[in-house]
Amino acid sequence: MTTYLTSHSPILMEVTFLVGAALTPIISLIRKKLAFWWALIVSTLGFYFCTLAAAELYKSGPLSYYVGGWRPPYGIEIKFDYLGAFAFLILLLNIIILVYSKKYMEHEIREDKLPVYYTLVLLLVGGMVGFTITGDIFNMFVFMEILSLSGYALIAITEERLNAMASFKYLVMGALSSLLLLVGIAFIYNVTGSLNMADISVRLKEFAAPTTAYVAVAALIIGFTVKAAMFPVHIWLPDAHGLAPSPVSALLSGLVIKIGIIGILRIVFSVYRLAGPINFTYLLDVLEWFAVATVIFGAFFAFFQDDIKVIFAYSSISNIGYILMGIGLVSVANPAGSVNAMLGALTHVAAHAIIKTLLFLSAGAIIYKTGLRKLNDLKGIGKKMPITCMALVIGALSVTGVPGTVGFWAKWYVINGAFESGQIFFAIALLAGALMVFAYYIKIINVIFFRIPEGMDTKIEEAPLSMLIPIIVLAASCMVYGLFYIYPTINNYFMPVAKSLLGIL
Amino acid sequence: MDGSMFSNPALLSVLIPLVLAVLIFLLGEKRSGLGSLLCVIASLATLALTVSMMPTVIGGGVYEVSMGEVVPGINFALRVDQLGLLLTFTAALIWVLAAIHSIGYMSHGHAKRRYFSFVALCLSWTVGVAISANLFTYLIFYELFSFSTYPLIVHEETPEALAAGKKYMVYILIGSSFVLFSIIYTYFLAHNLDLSMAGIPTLASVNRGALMVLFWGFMIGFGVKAAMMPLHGWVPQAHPVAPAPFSAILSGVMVAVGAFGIVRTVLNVFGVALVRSLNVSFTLAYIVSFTIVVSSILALNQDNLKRRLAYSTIGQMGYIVLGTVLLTEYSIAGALVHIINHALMKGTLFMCAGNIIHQSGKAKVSEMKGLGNKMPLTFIAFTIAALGMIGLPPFVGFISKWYLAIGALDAKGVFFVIVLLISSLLGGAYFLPIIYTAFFQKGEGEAAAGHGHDDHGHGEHAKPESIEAPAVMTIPVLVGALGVIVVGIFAKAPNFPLQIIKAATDILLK
Amino acid sequence: MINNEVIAKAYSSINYVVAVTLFCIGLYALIIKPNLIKKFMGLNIIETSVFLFIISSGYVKGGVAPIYTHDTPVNALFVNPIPQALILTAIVVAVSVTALALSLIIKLYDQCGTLNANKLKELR
Repeated sequence: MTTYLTSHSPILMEVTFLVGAALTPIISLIRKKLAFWWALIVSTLGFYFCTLAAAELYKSGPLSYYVGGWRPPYGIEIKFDYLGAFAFLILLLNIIILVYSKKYMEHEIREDKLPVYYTLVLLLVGGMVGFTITGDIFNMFVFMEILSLSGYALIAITEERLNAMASFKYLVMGALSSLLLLVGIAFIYNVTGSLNMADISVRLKEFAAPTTAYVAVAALIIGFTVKAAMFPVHIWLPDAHGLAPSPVSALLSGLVIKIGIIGILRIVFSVYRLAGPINFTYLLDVLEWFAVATVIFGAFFAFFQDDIKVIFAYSSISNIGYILMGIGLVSVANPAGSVNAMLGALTHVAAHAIIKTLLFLSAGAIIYKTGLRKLNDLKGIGKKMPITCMALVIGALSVTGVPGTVGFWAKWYVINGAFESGQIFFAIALLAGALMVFAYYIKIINVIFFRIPEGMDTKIEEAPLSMLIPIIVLAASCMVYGLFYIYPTINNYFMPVAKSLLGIL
Repeated sequence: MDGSMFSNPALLSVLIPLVLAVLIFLLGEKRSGLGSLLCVIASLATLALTVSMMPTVIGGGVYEVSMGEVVPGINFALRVDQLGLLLTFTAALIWVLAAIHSIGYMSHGHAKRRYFSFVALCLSWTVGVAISANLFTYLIFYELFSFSTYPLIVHEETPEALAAGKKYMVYILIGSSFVLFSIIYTYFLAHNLDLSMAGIPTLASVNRGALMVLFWGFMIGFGVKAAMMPLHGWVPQAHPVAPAPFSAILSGVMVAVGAFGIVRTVLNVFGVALVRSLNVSFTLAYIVSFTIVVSSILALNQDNLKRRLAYSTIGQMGYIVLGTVLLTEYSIAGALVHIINHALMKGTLFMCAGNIIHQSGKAKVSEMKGLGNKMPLTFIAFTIAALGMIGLPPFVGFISKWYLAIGALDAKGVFFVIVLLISSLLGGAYFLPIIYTAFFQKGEGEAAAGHGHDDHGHGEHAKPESIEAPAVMTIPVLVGALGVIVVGIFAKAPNFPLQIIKAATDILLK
Repeated sequence: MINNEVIAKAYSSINYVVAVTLFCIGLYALIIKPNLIKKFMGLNIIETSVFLFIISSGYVKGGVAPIYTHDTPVNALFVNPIPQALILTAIVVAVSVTALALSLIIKLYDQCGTLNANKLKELR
């Protein structure tokens, strides 16, 4: 039974979510609040399948699954490889966020909308998982659309006017970038006549049509950087992530923007490959400079914000910059010497997912209790909600990369990567960006802990347990995992990803 | 991690304050009285552990503990060597005094839970910094320490405190960025971050340009915390606003941690030979001399007592750095011994200042007329420590200066001996007036006192007016003053600082 | 200098010319038009242009539908069906995006009473 499940686990973890999402409205006909439990069951089941697949991956290498038994390149392939193992993180964080969202969403939206919320979350997660583990570039587009659409809808799920506007802005940018992805995919198909990633990477070598291949990869990278919110195409992010309900912000900021990154990694490093027909030197250089701009401007714009969630949203942009910088620092001529830069990018994909989830969830707990989100209204909140605010501080320290927290490792590895490639400027830019980020986090810490409360309801107390426990778990993992378990994790889990992407495994 | 690891005194001296800090926090605000006791217990436990490690470490042994690999080739590891022991001992000593003093000082304060748990937490991090086995571990504790002091600096939550806190954070973060940069660069160049007594061997083969970048990176990074001019901006602002017992820690230990970073860099990262070959000693020594003289001059016209003390701290840190970079046996010994000597003196001075502020509400020197007679014990302690600062024998300050001067002469740096002398003179110029004001000038209140004493303000006769601090605050101050004398007189006795130093310098300059 | 050859060439790639023209029209509408619905129509036009472009790339001159029946010539030329299949999916996606966008627009209109992007910006 287990072996049967294991061999089918790649498709099962995807189908669980899609079917689960479709069934949610039906289940909730019985009782509206049942939707939460159903979503939790579906997520747990999906997570179980993912652990099966992950166990298999680290036991005997990547799993390939042919949908309907059709062999690639004709059939669709689902490939749970090292990069695909990020699905594990997605599913784990999803469960944490789901537990949190029970109380929060009951408070935030009307009861008859709860099933809609859980349906969309399941779709979003299903889309992310599908995107991460698919081995087919057109499937990538489809899953990208599934997750983007549910993302747009989730932002607008509250009755707020601004949310609809933010959602619309995100939708227009997202739809344009999706079209770019489609064009890129079509170009790749035109060049190679295949949609299967493994097949494409073989065929690309045979076909000498670099111009088309260049255009294709450019379109895809631009498309993905819009999804990942790179400067200057980040403009949709602050509103969308800042105004969405907090669990949704956590999903979007923690996970969805990483999907863009995973897309870039997939296309550049596992479809085209560094050793392939296209010379990526210039493209990665350009990416690197945009990454610097993203780091600096993301941090800079946050200065002028007073909504804590919008500040967190801007710091997401800044952090995406770290990841892109790590990718950009990869040297085409010497991939083996770029392991550090790549590791920096990869660890930060995971680390930032944890940190941003923590930050948005703890900000959400504050909003849940007080209804306030402007920094100046939150004076002294730390005295009333000490645990939540301590967690928020831990998140703030992590996101700025204080040594000993998970956020530090991106800095360590990316700066190491910058030294390795001889570009010390990028190390300095990264440090400068981190400093700027901290400048406004210190402002937040100051306000919530060291200002005298004024005009706030005196009865405010700590958030309910079902919201507190996810926050505590995340905060603890930021600290404990950041110091003691990170090296084994990096060595055993991120290293194979980095090496397989760089083609030196 | 196996069970036996937890009986290792090196680990215990970090863990005990850490666990107790968490415990204090969990006890809650209502039981912060118990919390303050726990804070004292944490300090005492660390002190006891340090003393128990002394014989072995002075004899050349080390206590080591490793908690697994964190970066390829780098363990998260602790190792108590002589230098580490010195700072741990200093920290534990000052912490015991300051923690006891805090009980009195904070008796009417707010947020005591936060205060005491963070004081205990900072001890844990300081010990961690002191006994880190490699730069990576050092970095982690160093940063944790930097951040954990923030709540203590802004403890009063006044606008001035918050402004000082902001300034502190900006300075420290810029400094930390330099430190981080340099440490990663070291790792890149040498693939080794071990703090061994001979320096990192693989650095010797690196080209000079890279080494210079590295050296100055470290100097700027640690220089911010060590309050080296022109990177000292946060010190005069942070010290006055922090609660006095914590100012004692801040000035006695925390700033010294920055200086200790420079010591570690010069002695354990580069190694004496490599720094000598870089030929940067005198450049840095001149910068530091500037710091010493200018800070003393600036201290002269500070009316706020704690501010004056803060400027004095900046100058004293200069001594430590100066001694280190002169690279002779005596100068290094003088620098190292000055870490503990300065902590004792400055700790005492700040706690005295705390007593004065707490009992009389007076923070300015000009307001302290006649206070010496009202608070005799406090001011006697203050006088002893101040005389130590000026460098009079037989107090501890003299020992450091003596060694530093001999070291400077060995390094053919007569200029620096003159700097030391000028600094002593200036020290006299800014400390003696305080003592004079307190003891020999009559306070305005006394001139108009209507209790049948008219114009009669000598301490012995004015007992009813005594506003001496409670025992819990005077005892630490007096113990500190006693330390200033005893350590000064018995400097060479077994287990006293100079012996620890000698063990260290013997290995270093072998 | 427009001679027959150029015209013939343009005519033979008329699909691509139209696709690019449509793209430009759509982009113009998306950027310039203040009305949200018109903006979105612009996006739809862009989508259409992309679809046309991709479909055209799979077209083989003189090809027939790739369905084998009894009256298919022996050495018949088939058009590539995969782009068509892809676009079919993409159209479905585009329709759902349109539906979502329109529902958002309705919501916005209910709450703000205007669809003018400039006025909506002021309402923030």
